[in-house]
Amino acid sequence: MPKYDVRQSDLEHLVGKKFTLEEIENILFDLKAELDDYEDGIITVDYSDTNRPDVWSVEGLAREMRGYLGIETGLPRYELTPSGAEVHVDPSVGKVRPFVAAAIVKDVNLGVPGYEQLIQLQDKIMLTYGRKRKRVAIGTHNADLIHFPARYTTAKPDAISFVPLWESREMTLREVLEYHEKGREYTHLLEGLERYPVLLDAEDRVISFPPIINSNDIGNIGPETKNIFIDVTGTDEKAVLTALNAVVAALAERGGRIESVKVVYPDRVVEAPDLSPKEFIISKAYAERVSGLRFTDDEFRKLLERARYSVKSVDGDKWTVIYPAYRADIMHQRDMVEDIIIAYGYNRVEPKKPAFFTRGGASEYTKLEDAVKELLIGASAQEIATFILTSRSVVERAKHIPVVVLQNPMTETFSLVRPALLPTVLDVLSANTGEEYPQKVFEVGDVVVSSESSPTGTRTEQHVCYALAASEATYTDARQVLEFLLDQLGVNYRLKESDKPWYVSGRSADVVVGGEVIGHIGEVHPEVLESFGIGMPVVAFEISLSKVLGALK
Amino acid sequence: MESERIARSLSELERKVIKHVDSKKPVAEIARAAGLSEVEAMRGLQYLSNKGVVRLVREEKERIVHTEKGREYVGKELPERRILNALKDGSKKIDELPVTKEEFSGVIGILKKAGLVRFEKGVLAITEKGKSFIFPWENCYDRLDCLNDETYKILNRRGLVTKEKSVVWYAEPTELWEDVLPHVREDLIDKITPEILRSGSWKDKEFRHYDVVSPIPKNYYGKRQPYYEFLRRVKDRLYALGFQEEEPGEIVLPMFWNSNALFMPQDHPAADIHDIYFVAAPKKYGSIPEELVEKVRKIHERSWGYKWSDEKAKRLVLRSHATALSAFLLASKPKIPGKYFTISRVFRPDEFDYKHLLEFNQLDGVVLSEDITFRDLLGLLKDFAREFAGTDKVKFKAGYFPFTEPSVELFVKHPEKGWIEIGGAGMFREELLEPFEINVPVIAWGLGIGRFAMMELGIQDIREFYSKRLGYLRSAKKIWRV
Repeated sequence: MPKYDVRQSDLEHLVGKKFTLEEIENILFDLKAELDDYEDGIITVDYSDTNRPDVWSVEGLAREMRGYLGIETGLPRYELTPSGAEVHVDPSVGKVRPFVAAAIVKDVNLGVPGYEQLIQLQDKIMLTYGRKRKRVAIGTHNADLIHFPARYTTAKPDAISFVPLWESREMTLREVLEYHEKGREYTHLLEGLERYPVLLDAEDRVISFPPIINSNDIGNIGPETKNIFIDVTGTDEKAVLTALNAVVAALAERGGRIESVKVVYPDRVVEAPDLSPKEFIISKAYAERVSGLRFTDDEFRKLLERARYSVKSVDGDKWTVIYPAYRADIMHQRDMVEDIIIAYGYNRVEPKKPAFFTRGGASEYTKLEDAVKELLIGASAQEIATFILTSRSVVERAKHIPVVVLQNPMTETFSLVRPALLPTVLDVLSANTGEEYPQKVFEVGDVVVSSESSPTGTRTEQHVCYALAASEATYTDARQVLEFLLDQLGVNYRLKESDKPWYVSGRSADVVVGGEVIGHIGEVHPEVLESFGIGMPVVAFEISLSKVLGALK
Repeated sequence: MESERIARSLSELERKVIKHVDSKKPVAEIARAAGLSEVEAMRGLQYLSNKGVVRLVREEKERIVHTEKGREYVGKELPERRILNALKDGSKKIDELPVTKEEFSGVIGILKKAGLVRFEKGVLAITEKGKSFIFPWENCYDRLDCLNDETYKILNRRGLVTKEKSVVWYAEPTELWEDVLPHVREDLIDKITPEILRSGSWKDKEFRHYDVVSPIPKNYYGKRQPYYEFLRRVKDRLYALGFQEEEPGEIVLPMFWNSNALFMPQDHPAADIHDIYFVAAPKKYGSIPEELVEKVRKIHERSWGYKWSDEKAKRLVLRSHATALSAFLLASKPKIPGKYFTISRVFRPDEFDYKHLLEFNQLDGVVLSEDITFRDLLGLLKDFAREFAGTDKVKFKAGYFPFTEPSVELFVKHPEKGWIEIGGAGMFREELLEPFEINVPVIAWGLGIGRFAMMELGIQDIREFYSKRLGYLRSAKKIWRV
């Protein structure tokens, strides 16, 4: 969820209206955003939609607000003229960072607020939409300093040097990656490459070293910069073009005139930005069916316009609608229906109750779980709850074998999925050696066991584990509870001598139903108790409730 | 009468000791007189003292005791005696004496100083005085009751005795004692036993009165874990609202089922709405249903505009949201119209602190029906607000979820905290439903029950949901009003 700062005065200036903070809060709410923070005239906006980079700056937000408030509705139109400038693409970028798009915005009135917003918008787009610059990276430069045609090409790490942004000395590309703050942050994006992407002007001066850093001479813009050259590079052409559209549309809101730049690839030419509106057909009946609202044609048209669409033509129920080029999120008429409801006002929609009856009820598993808990509580055991994620140490001290191990754990304490409940139950007993004994506890919950026949190699099962820690605890105590439980559930089982490493040899059994082992019972081995620091005998059993459920079917 | 009432409540132990109480009598003596162990007598006197019948007085005394080394000679002859006796039969070399070297060097000084032995040409001989001499401590060595300062010093220097502080308890009668004593009856019935019932002997006896109000030791019985109890009560609410609970799902899933089948793209910012745990073992990749995958792939490539990767779809992850269960539900041809829900544990890499867990329970559900609309969705959310937050004051915010359109977030007015978000919902996108061949609208919703649980359980630290502290679990109040 992108968060960005806007100056309240700047927002009001761009919308053309003054607001109280509360009014802004309510409007944001209706437009998929929250007022996250406010300090010294600066509003932090938390915008929900990760698909709308066009609204990640004050200019785009103001554009949406003008529509929503009816100040300026319909399709925003931006003039576009060709600049005549070209960027020539060398085939060597193909394997490195294949796509580039560029534009020039002239006579823009940035000032301090506009400058801040441009930097922030670039950062936000590169961070989320641009996947931390991997997919999309943006550079903004002083257009007056560039001699065209520019060249997007590659260079060996030591072949070229330039003064990177905020530095005073020349560095080679390799040095930038080693010493510059941004170089170190993003060096992984170029790892393993023999040649790095560079954007050069006609005099072979470095404009930028994407996706790392601009040149300090050309790429250092400020609040006073009037004519801005924007380059966008990346690995996904559609995303590159969308990002360029979002940036130029924002600058156009500050009076900038947008000029296109021709990108000449070895095999084709792409002139960007392409700001021609796009068409989509929506059925009014469909919008009514999804929303549950009824619209007159006039209402429907006004709602579309407030959502910054324009109606091109109407043919019966088929409405041909045009929408701005900076939007890349419209995949289905559903997307427009949401915009229509937003324009209508989410909080003006009258809620209604579904008119059909359904009978609610518990899952088969919950029914069994309830019965198990009731019976064990009847046996005076306290229910406990533990995390499903646990550590290798807990599992191995309980002499169990790990099954599911995580690739990216946050900490060793939660680095694998428990394969059984007994380890985490023993972990709880070990945390309570200062509590009064006897301690009778049980846990019911998910475990993940290995299963060769399953598509994932594992299977999630629900288990129950009971444990009694008491000075006089013996196998018989646990068995009495087990038999009480299984007899009451109507499970037809038998016990079979077994030799589990976590139990004392000769004092443990498997619980067998049909031919299948559904659990085990025994006296916990002193070696296990010692490793958990438990100074009290413990007897326990663990049963797979998933298997019990299967057996009872 | 107070004294009579007290007399009737005396236990057998109390009745046994009460008559032996005398002005400042040591408890040990009372025990002997009553034929009880000291511990038993002390317990009886303690009860009597609680009732104000006797007063217990504690005195610290110093007494002489044997050291560990000194205890070895109790009941035996001391080395000095053994040496004197041996010499009575004639002079001996040192190594012929029946004592160890250490014992010898410990006593030879004393023997010589007292003029009881002397050395003659390398052998030790007894003097005349020595033949009949007896050291003052010899006769009382076992009980140590005849030592004076001087003799104590001698034995102490030899490491045989030391002084130890000991506590002596005395019991003294109070004024009440005199009143109570005449009413004490021997023939009160203590415990009602099967014998007493069988013989009917209770008929001409009286029952001892118990102390029925003083604190007693606690006993712990079984009950549900408070947080799980809360979740169970939430389920009851949903049954009552007509929702059928889904059976538990898999925790380890291919990315396909966790995300892609829900129209979440493979390589797109929309896929990054939260972090996901990847599985390293036992396998990194699972298998996925070809026919369904093919349909999903086409729609993804068409709608999101990227190149689908089967490898990414097969990558195994831990279930990161309960909506993953909805994908399975849709694939299982559910009954329509139908309302379904699940409470499932989900896993996300995050900070682990008082506000965040790495795994938590999500309440999630769907409604499938021919004619449902966005208005029905809002109606449902209003019901939830009333059921779970007890309020009609709701606000709807336009939201964003990759799998729903339109999407909405539910806010309720909390008396202190202002507007708080309690859930997200929306209508499943048609691109999501198409591969499952579901052609009715589907409402999908999720409620943040963690916040309600924290309020209900009165906890500030979310980690308390899974508290390991038995003390807390034993004392936590039963959740019954949810």
